[in-house]
Amino acid sequence: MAVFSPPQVLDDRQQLAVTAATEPPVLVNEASLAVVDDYILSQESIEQFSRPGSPVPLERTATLPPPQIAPDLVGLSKAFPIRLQSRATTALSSYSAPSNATSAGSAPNSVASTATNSALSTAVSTSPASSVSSAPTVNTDSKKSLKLISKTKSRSRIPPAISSVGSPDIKSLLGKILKNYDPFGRPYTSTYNNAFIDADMDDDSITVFDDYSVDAESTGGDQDDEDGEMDRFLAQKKQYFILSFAGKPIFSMHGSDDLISAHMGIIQALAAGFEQPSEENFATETVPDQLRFFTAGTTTFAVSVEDPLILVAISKLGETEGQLRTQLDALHTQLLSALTKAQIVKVFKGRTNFDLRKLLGGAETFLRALTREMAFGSPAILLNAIECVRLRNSVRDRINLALLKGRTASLLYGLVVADGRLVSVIRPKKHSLHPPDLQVIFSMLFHNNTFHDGREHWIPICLPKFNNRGFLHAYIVFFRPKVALVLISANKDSFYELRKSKEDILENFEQENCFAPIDLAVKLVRYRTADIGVPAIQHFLYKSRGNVQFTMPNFEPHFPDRKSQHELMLLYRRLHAAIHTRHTHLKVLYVSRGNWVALAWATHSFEVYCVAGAATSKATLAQGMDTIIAWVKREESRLFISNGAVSGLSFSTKEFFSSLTSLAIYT
Amino acid sequence: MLKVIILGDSGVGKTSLMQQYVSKKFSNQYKATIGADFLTKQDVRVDDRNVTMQLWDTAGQERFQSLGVAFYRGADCCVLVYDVNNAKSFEALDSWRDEFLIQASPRDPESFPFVVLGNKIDVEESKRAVSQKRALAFCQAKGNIPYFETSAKEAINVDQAFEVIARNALVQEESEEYSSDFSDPINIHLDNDRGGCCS
Repeated sequence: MAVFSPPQVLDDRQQLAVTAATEPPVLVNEASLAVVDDYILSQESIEQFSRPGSPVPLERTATLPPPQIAPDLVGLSKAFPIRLQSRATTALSSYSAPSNATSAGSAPNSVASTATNSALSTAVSTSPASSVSSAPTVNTDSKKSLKLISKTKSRSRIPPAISSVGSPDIKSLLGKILKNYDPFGRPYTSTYNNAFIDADMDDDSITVFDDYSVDAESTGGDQDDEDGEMDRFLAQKKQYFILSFAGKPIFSMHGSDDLISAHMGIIQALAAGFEQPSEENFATETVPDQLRFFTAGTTTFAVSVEDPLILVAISKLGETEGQLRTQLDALHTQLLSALTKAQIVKVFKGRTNFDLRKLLGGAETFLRALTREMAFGSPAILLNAIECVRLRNSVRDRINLALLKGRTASLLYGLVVADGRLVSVIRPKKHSLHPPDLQVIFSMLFHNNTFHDGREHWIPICLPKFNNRGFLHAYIVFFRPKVALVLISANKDSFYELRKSKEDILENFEQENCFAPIDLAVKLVRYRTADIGVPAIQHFLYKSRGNVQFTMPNFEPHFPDRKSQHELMLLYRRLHAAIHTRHTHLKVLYVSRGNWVALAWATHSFEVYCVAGAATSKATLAQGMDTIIAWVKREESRLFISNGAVSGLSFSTKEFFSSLTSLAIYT
Repeated sequence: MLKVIILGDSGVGKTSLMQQYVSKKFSNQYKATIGADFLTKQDVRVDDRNVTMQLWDTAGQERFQSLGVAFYRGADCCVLVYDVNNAKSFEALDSWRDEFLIQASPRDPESFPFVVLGNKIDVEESKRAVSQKRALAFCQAKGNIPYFETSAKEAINVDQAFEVIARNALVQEESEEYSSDFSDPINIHLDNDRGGCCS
């Protein structure tokens, strides 16, 4: 069903889709195979994906909330439309449910105590009482590590502040999930540091964009400068490192060699320390332990050991392990795209002292661009999804057909990408495209200007989720300032063939009048919330889980500059973190903070995050979200490239069905 | 980037040698290294090349030996340090060397570069416990290991020793040129129904 195969690690339902993808049911006849793509899902999963608005069965709701929560239900039913109510209740009950071992000790009637928390007691509680902030400080694969960090843990073992006065205020109640609040609405400094929004405001010198490493080489070697350099290095809100198992640096977002190499050593020593079985569990532990995550104060460290490499993400922005891990995966994918897994394994085999930077060549540019984008906050990486250009079906079909007509024998994938968004894709029936692979391509194309000269480019590229052992070859040309045609082949000698293909395709575009709609899409960027009837909503993200795609409106007019966009992305990250916290079943989340109120809702088929001005009422916000969901549903075929099949054609269109089979290619 | 590991008994002056080499400083105060320290020496001139050395200063004390395996991994050179006024520290060199070879398991143990440093030669001659002759005999027996007598305190022979360390480390790092041809072709059978990529 989906053009893109869902990511590997997801919930059961998504895994079902993956399984279904690799093993298409046999009972499909030849004719339908020609158009239906590889991802033939079971009827059950199609139903699950295709009912985005379907409410949770009511009986589930009925069983969940204990009687104590009743007063809140009254408040909630006023606040949310009926349809949202079931989730909201679920959210509340699960919010207070033990989210990990740490909070498990706090009273069994925590539902009641949390529900009766007054706004005031929330504000003065200095403990990391919320379900988010009491997340485990260190996750590793064994008990041993837990022992190591017991000191850190005991700090956070303070139970939620309990007070039974005051009326249950949903705002303070739910707002607390993200952060403790004080009664005056100021963000309260709690376990998550104040890096959130306010801290970034006045501090231009230390922002995540501050990449001073370029300048570092020009500064002199005197002691003051070095200290200043180290201070700035340590003050960075985001850091990414790639190092070898031996502790030799391969890539660093910030900092020069002499600054980072000691840190590399420490990371290597830490990672290595966990590898060895400790004495007491020597007998039982056969699988080597792995360091995965730890915190120091408000700084979080995620470590990914990808033999023979170690990748590290460090964040002072309150990101969760899962979010950092997704980013590390993107970084790893980007690295592999330049080198292939096979090559990396090979060079390190028997020579662990190898300096991989010798092979990195120009790939560092792409890694740097990606890390900057991730530090800024990329919706695509946060949601692990692809964004498409919104186009009329007839227009997209024309573009698809133009691509199909121009394709040549050795073409594997053909893509048209406009300003980081997918316009069209053609692919062979047997080969899917994976979002991380596409993100690698998008990041290369749009996060730096290597290819923006309008000339032809021919590069070897590995798409690791497709095949991490070898290179494909990509013909890349920006035929419009922000629009690229990417033709990918497995054949390294197909340059001239693909060049010819490009000429044919562009000619077809001309004939089919495809340039104008693409140009228009680039010019208008996206759409405005006012256009879709929800002017109260300033911005939103909508992810279709089945399609592994997302859509969002323009940042303008409410978030016109990089700084406000960065702040918005921080808010999204918090929302995302809250509804993706492991062991909770939080599905609806209302948050009010600073200048904004926000509502997040996750179901099995979609995730929505809406942001509106602080004055917006809960009802308006919820109403806006409803409108967005209905609109996306109506516009689904324009917003997402679904039913993409081999050609990206909609198979509801009989005309194209016949034209495709008559072309008899590419199946 | 060259990774250099410094090993030797507790108190022989490993940290002092590194400090002297990297920042030209010496302190009379003894402070035991906990676990390991890391220092970087940039712009090390080897012939006409500029290299960066990552110096891994390890703790000599027994209780830190568990750092072991992974820690030594991927070193380009191993520096063995003893105190010329302490015979026991010299006798331990052989076991330090064995320990390193076992833990780091370099591809070719015979040719892996070691350098032996006899430190604290500034102390009065009467206290000397290991003669130069004895040290040289050991180094020769172990495959002609380069030997230097140094004083971290007086900065004697430190730069000279590290120059050899850097050169030998560089040779080790470049000992085997990697082959640049890794392009395993991906065989894709577009016309094959059951096919799929080579997976």
